[in-house]
Amino acid sequence: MSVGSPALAAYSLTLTALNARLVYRRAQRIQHESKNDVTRALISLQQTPLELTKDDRLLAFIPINDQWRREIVERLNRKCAWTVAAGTAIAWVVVAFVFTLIDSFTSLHDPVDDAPTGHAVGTLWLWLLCLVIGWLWVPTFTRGELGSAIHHANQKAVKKAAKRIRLIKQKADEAYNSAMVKTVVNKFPRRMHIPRRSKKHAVDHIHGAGDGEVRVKIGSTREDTKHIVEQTELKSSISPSPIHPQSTASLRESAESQRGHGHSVRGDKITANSAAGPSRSTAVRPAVVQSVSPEMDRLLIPKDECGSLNRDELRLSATFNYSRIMRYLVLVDDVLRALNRLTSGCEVGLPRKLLILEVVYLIPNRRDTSPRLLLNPRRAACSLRERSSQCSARQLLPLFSNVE
Amino acid sequence: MFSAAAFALVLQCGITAAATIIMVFTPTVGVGCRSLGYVLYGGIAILILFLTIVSTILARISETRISPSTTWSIKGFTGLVAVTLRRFCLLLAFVNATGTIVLSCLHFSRTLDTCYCNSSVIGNGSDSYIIISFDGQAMRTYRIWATGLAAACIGIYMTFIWFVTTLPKQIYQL
Repeated sequence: MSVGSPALAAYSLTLTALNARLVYRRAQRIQHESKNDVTRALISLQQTPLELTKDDRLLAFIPINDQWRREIVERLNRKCAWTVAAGTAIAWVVVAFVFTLIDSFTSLHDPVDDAPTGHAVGTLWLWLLCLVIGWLWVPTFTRGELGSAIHHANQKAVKKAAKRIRLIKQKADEAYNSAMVKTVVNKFPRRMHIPRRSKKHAVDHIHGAGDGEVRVKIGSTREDTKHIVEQTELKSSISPSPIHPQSTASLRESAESQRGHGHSVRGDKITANSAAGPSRSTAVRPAVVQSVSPEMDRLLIPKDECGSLNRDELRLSATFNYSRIMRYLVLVDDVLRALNRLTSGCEVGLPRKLLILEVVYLIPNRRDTSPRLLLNPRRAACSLRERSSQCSARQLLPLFSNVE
Repeated sequence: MFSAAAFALVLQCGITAAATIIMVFTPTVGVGCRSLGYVLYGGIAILILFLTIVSTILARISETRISPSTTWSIKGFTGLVAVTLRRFCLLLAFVNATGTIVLSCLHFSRTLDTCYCNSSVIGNGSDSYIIISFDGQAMRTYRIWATGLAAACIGIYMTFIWFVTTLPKQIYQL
């Protein structure tokens, strides 16, 4: 496509440069500690499809997120793509072209010489040099670099997260064995063996609902902080349970997720998850988050929730920047205005340490397999402790299936 | 957006004009097969650029409209036009790229070194001529002129490079 129309490629390149300048200038006016990160991410992720999202399946939910983000930003923070190899190659091309020009003056006396033809073709292809230099100069990512950076950061994050999940599961199992098994055993024949893997079936059988979601809450009671109490409830009968109000670490974990780690069980589950969204938010989230979330919604409602018509937008190539320009400008506007409102004090209820663009996450869509980057600004509002308490196995599932 | 388009136009015109001028002002003076090929190439490239920009704008209009109740609406119409334009541009770009590569190959294999092409029949019509022998001096002036103009065009898109590189330095130090 860019061979067919160098003008289009040049258009994309210039747009990228102009966007970088625009983002930089607009971000200069904002006084916020995460300003540089935001600017950096916005500039260097230009050639990937970006979206603001309020999706829950994101890494910001996981406590290692800070480290993950640092990793990504570190990778993003390369000064310039100029290497010795690139410089030498370009220098060779320039020298060869200059020699050809000189040669055309010296070999004038040969009437059958076809030299001008060569010059014409040479100048015709010289835009390649121009564009290569331009793309080297503009501080964006190539596709492979971005992929490897995210992959690397993911792997690091997953190692820590897996450790953490193992710990949580262990606790859950303990709780299960101590509290739940007794009731199960009471209802089943005495010698029936209940394997660990089929807990879900057992629990479902008890409650008589096939697709019932089982919530496991682990907390500390008033009397004994070390005693772990477990409480199961069906999804259909959700009510905020004020039984243990002082529970410091409330955790929910679906029994389904205990079964399948490597399976691709994401899609249907997550729709079910989002269907139960509002009730869950009241039931599970800590109070601080409850008060923050609506404010954040108001602050950062992505204006761009309309569908994409131009399929070129979803391609991970810098040449297609031209088709992303409208969407990108709207996104920049959203993010920077939100930052501005945060710092200028219009939004009083929000914590100042809000890190917008904390999350960058590759999600291959179910319909089209092209991955896109989602920026999730909302979750960052929770403090580290709250986030760690909200960490659940279900939210880690996409992570696991993505890395492999 | 429009300044970006303008700079892209400058680049495309620069390279096309450089190549074309070299071919046109080389004796025999006139539009021949080769220079016509260059002009076509540049023209189609610019056409692709414009159609793509129009397609982007229309797609945006279509995306931001609320989906209507009637079948005939601005959303549907602009969406249709945008998709059609995009596909058309892709096809055009493919044809153009193939054409350019073929043209370059024809140049170097001297397939275009025929009487018809060398005498620039396309531009000169019945007045066309072919050079059998000429003195080197005239040739020299022609070539210097052509090369100078080409160099000027190259200069134009060197300014394009300059424009791209004048990003704020602080961007690299964030």
